[in-house]
Amino acid sequence: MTVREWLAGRAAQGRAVGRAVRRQLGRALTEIDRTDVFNLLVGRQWGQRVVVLSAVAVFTWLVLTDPTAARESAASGIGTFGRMFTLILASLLIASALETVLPRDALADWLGEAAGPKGVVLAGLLGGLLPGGPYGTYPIIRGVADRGASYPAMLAMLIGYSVIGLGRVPFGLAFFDAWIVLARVVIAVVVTIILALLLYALAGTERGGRVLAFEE
Amino acid sequence: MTSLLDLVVGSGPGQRVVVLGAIALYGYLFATRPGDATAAVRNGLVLFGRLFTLIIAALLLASAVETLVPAAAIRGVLGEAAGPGGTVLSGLLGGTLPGGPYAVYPLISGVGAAGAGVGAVLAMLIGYGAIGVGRVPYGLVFFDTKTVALRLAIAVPATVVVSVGVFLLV
Repeated sequence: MTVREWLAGRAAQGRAVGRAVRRQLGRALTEIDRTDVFNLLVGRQWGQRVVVLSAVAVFTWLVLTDPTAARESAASGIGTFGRMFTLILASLLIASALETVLPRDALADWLGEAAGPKGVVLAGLLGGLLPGGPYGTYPIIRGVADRGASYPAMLAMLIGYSVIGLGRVPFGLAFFDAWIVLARVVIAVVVTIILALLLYALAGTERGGRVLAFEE
Repeated sequence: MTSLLDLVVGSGPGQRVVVLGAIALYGYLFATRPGDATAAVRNGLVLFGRLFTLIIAALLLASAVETLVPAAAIRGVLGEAAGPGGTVLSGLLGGTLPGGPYAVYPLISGVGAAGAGVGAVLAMLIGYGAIGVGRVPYGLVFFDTKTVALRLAIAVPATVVVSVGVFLLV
């Protein structure tokens, strides 16, 4: 084999590898086009997609029927985003920090040992302190139940998380007056305590005890 | 004219509390737990990237609601003139809104600005938190159907009662 032939062989090999790499890259880019970019634009969950697609539909309709209103609405929405940008980012960063530093295991152990009406109320109020979305919080509440918490305590925690949702306060301050946010939290705490006590009382009755119990 | 400082830390006291609170929290975290702080920043930024179009869409929808729906119509259905029924309807409607607070709060704020009363806004916020139909699929992943159904069965009447209370008090 001459040097020229050897070089030609290596060059052909190099071209083949280049083609394979380009093919793989192309495939990867196609995959990114089809899934990641779509998810990034429209959202991964149905709730997110409903909002994004509704906005697209509403603005398409507005542009076709009343372009001036469409322009004004878009300018108003983008203006609000500009004013709220650092606030929204700060809210998400706070939520992320709280999720990261939360002592999940210690919390679960602690609540698992809590009992009586005080334990159920405490579970509800602590549920209200849990930050983040349900995908992060529900496993914690499940973990609390697995570590020995009673069924009413677990349900109170679910209710407290839903009603109080202290993690929603920063977002609330972004869009509403402080007194509305405060009123929401005060109402939510009172409602959580009342519901937790009701759950405890109901669990003490014969019929309520059957319903408010873990299934075998 | 909005100053650069207002743009960065917000023009209202509530916004400033959140922005400066985030700075203080991360200042403390970086000083004491730098690894956790870095992870939290990364997670927060990834979340922001994922939610970017959602936040924009929600803000655009909120401003479109103000433009599209006549204030008189919203006042008539959800405002104080609608009576306790309007406030209860607001609470139940809030419970059906999908997405996180970054998507739903601008919509509720838009409805409020378009003519719904303060009571309706409060009831919507309570209903959104208590009922949260969008959380049902997550609930079914981690809990049994009975637990998810019980949560809703408690949340709906609680929202109705609280909405009536809000109407009477506000």
